Amino acid sequence: MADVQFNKITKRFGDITAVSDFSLSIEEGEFITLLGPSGCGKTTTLRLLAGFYPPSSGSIKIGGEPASDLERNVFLPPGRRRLGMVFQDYALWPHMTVSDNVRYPLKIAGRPRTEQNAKVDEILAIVEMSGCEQRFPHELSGGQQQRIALARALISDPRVLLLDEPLSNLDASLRENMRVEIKNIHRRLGVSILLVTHDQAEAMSMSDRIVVMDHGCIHQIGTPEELYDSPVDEFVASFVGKANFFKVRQVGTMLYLCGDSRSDGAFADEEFLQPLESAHIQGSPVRGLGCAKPTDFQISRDAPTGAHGIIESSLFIGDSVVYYVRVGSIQFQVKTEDRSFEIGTDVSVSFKKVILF
Amino acid sequence: MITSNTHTWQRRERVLERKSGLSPGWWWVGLLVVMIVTGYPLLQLLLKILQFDGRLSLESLHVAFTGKKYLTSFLNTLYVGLLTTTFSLLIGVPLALVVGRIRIPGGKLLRVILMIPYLIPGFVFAFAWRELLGPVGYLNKFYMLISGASEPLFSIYGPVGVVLILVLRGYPIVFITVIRSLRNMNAGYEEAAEVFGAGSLQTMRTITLPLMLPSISGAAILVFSSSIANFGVPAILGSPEGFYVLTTQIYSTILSYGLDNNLNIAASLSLYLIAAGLLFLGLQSRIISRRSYVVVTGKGGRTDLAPPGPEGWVYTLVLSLMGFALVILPLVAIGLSSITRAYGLMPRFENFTLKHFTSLLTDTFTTTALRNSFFLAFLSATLCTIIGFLIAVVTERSKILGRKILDFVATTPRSIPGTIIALAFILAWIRPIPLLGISLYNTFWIILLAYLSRFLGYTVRTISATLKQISPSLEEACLISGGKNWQRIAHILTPLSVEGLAGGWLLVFIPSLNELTMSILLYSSGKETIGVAVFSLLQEGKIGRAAAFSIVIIVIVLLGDRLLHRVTKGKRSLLG
Repeated sequence: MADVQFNKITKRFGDITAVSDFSLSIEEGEFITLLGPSGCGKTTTLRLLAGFYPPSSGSIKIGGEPASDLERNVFLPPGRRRLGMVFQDYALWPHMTVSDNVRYPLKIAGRPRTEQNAKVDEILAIVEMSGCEQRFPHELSGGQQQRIALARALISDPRVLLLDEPLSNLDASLRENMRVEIKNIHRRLGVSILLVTHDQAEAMSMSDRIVVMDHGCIHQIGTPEELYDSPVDEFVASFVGKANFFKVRQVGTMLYLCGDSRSDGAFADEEFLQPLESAHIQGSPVRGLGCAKPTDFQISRDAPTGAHGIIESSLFIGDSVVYYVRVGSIQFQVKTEDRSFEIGTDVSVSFKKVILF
Repeated sequence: MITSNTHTWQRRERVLERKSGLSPGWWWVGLLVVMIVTGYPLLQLLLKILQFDGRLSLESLHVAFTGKKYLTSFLNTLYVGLLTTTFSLLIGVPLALVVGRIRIPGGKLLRVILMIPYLIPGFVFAFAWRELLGPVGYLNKFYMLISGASEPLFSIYGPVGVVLILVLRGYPIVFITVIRSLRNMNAGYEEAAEVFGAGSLQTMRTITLPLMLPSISGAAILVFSSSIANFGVPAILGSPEGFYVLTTQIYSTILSYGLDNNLNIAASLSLYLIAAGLLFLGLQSRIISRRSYVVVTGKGGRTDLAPPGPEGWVYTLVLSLMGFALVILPLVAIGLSSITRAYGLMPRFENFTLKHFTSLLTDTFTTTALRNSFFLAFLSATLCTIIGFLIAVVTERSKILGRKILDFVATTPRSIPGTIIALAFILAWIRPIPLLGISLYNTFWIILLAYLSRFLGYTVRTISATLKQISPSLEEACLISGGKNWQRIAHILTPLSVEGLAGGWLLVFIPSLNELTMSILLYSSGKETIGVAVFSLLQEGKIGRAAAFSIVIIVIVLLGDRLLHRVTKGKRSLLG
């Protein structure tokens, strides 16, 4: 039984359609991420699940029970959906101590005081914040506030944990730590998680499955690997990892480059690139948009096959180098561990893999 | 079929959306109460305008617009308003530019002293000036003593005195408005002009002043409308000389029991003031809405004042003289009157006494007034805070239809002169309430209701501003934790808006405590307030006791402002 089911959800605010025809089911214990640029409808989707507003059409089920369903006139308020939520600004109540913040859901539910205390101790131990019970939120660092927000969201054993860009207010190193922490908590408690983020690295490193959204629509749902290896369209490819786009034409087993993706003369100055074994190509339009990740290239000084290119500039990024290689009218970003190419060097460029849309 | 289905869904969505906002079931009860308290009397007022001899007629309007003394009072009001505004700007704007841009030795203290006239109720300050410059005021007596003249040098009575006191209460408004926007102005604009070679005077003329224009005109409107609405000052300094403005004319028309249709004529007269009030309300909101894109963004205010040069001391001297002559002297005068044994005695040590102060606590007339005012102020502040909080919650946090109307009805009386509100309350409640048979007229409660109507807007505005600062996610966190709407209000919103609640409470408590304009029309024997008591003591010539009472008011008001400063961390206090 799926934990959460979105069934053809649409949400309009006035004339603006924030989410359109959104369907998704979250399995029990699954970690799902809604990924997309700001304004893509991911936060609206999360808030629809939380019950902060009703959908314009469609229905949401939580644990098999309808939670939002206009047709049946069902709308559970947020507090009755058994959800936990971590807000972008953490939303810790500044007038309450850590302990009072964390215990609040239990207090509302009318649990006995002793049970509350035991639960607070237990959950603070999980988020490694034992001993901070009597501090106030403003006395804590950003990362600590984050942990308290997590503790409050988890204390009443929610069916689903909602995370609304929880890491965006933390600095880079702390963010990496928290990613691991959240993964650990997920593994340990087995709670389903719905994360909303615009940070693709965050999405890739944490999720079981990712939903890529733009303009209120789903572009692709898949595991991080699927999204990375086989994006279904240009948007997903550009959003999940960096990619080079260019126009191509395929004739038989030969691939011709036809200028960069912005050239509108379209397929004019064709340049021979290389014959390709079909295994390297995904998709099969005869002419269309080609996409290759920076790591999908092979450059060398002397290989006989491949197109002729010139190294125009290079960025050393530690474990590897990103070269800007010009081939005809196109500039490719190529990432390799080989640091030996100088600017101005003539190289031979070939693909290890190309995706055609 | 499909379309009808979509319609049902859309309706359901709208209903649910409203429910998912904060939608207290009591909101319409509140609307009804506010409508009855505020809306009904004002409606009665408008109806009375169209009646004469109990019939539908335009005769009242005709009388009000053609009667010679009514026309004179209208022209006098315009005269007072325009002069007050002009002089307030002439003092307030340069003062703000100097204090806001140049470091003046002792500037902080001087600023506090120069703002005091705005805090003190107008009738008290007018009284203080009378003690200084009235026909037997200390300055005139001193002049006659040393020159041997038999006539006073200058009399504060009449239009000049009225304008003088109103200007002293008006320039602080200008000063505060201008200095606030000066502080908020992006210093980059001025610095850019200086980089391009403009001198500091040139920068002020070509950059600073034009950018300040919206806030200056906003302040001008505020000064104009508050000075034409003032009752206490012209009542004390104008009426004895036969100089009437609209508020005092309306007052005396209401009290002219011998005049037929006097209430109808008074209602028609108030049309002048209502029209002016609405006009300026409209102008003000237009200027404020335009200002939003004109200039004043919060960031980058210039905090570094020009270093103190020799000219700093010149300013100190000028401002000290100003503060001494305009603020300290009249306060000293009223202070002397309060401790002088009998009115007219020379201020010598052997004539000093504290009996006026002790009599405040022993005389039943004054103790009743003190008790009444504290009781009324406490009740009106508390009720305004509670109702204002509920209204602010509805307007800021719900999506209920009609919330704008609620806000409008609750905040409009703030801009209506107290005299008119009082008149409206007389008209609405002079007869027993139908069916119930209860009469509010001549009771305590009519005064309380009038205070509520007039001051509710202060709490609504203050608390709304506080609620705007509270991140909605704090409330959503409560909801998703299982909290219901009442728990969201009780556990989250209320404790987080304590600052605004306390500030709003004080903002009502202080003016209620020394309210004169409405109380003087609505009080009945035994229901006197502090303002009424001072006014009556003055009329009866019991100057010493009136002065002692005034000193008490001044102390309360200054302490109140300090408290307000504490509570709101300087945001609402005037003395900064």
